[in-house]
Amino acid sequence: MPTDEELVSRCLKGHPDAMRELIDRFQPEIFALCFRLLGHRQDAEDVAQEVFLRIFRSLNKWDSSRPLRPWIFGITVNRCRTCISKRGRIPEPTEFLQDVPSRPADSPAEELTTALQTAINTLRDDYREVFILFHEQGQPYDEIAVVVGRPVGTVKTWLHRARSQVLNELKLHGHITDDPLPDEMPKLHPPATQP
Amino acid sequence: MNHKSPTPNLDPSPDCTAFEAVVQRILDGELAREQLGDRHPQTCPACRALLTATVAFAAFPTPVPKPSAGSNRQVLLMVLHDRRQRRQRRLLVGGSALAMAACLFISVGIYFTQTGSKPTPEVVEVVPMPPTLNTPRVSDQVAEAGSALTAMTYRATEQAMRPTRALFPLDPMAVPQIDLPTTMEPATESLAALPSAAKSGLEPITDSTRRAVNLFLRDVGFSPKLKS
Repeated sequence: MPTDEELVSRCLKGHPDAMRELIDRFQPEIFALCFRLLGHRQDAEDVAQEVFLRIFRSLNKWDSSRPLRPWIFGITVNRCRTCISKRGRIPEPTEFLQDVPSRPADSPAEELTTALQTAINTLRDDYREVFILFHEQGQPYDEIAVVVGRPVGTVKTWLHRARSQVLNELKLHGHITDDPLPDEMPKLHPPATQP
Repeated sequence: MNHKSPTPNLDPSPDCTAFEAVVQRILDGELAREQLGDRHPQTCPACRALLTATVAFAAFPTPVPKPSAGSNRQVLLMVLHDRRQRRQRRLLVGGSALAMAACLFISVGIYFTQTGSKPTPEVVEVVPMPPTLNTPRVSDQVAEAGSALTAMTYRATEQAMRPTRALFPLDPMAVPQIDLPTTMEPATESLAALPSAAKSGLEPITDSTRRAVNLFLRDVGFSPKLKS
């Protein structure tokens, strides 16, 4: 499996198979990040395509001494911010769909997952970015700082506030009960990056 | 990523803020779960709820959304199309710029070819012509003498005519027009008066001659009898 640098080098030489491999390698993460930040599948697919266009247009500007993933995530977050700002100016055409009551959850686990997503969606944009990058994309603090263009300390503060807000939301909506504490706590580390 | 910082106190502080800080560090991956004591949550309902929420949050990660099938191929086609378009645009722009540069170059070349090298005047070395011996020719000498004579005549005429120029009107249109008869008649009156005019013109001469003859006759004693 070629490294990111080798892959980029082949892409710059115009090999279509290298371009396909680069897309296959990063598309799931880019789409997941777009979907989490935008909350809309179609918007996420459109923005993911724009992100790849930007990536291949400016691939020669990438500093090969730095990791590729934060650079790509930085482009993704910027495109999502642009999409969100455009969406704020243009009325959403499918707004009426939000009035349709959601399907009831089949299980408490699914209900908790839905409540967690709702709580995440109530976060501020910059809090949601760092929360998703850390807990869903598994990015370390320093790379998140590169992606969002802020110092590591700011990223930590934002992430702590986001967690507190999410936990408070879960408590407020009654998803957390004062049950006895479990004997074994699940793994609390950020999940590994999904392939 | 795992920044294991040693924490001497395994059991968090009873303070809720401190407990929350430990929870955050565990979620950051800096501390292990075992370093979170159970004593404080058992006595504090809020922190117990926080701990339960943390456990639930960690146990139920949100499912990672996946892109639709075939979207990677669609992205690849779009990227290749965009790459082709950008290359064509670059060629078009480059070709246009090259054509404009060529036109400009040709125009400048034509301009300097027609007008000579004005911007960069060349230093022309003036080579003195070798002296040539001109043999005098008679026709040239005669022509030169003729032109000199004409010039001298013209000059003398001008000098003679200059004082009389003031007598003539400057404007030739100011000369009064005299209506002349279209047919000329013979001057009969003038011819008739010609004898009397001649007689009167000669009268002083005949008188002087007569007086001289009379004086001569008186001196010699001759007194002619004049017929009255």
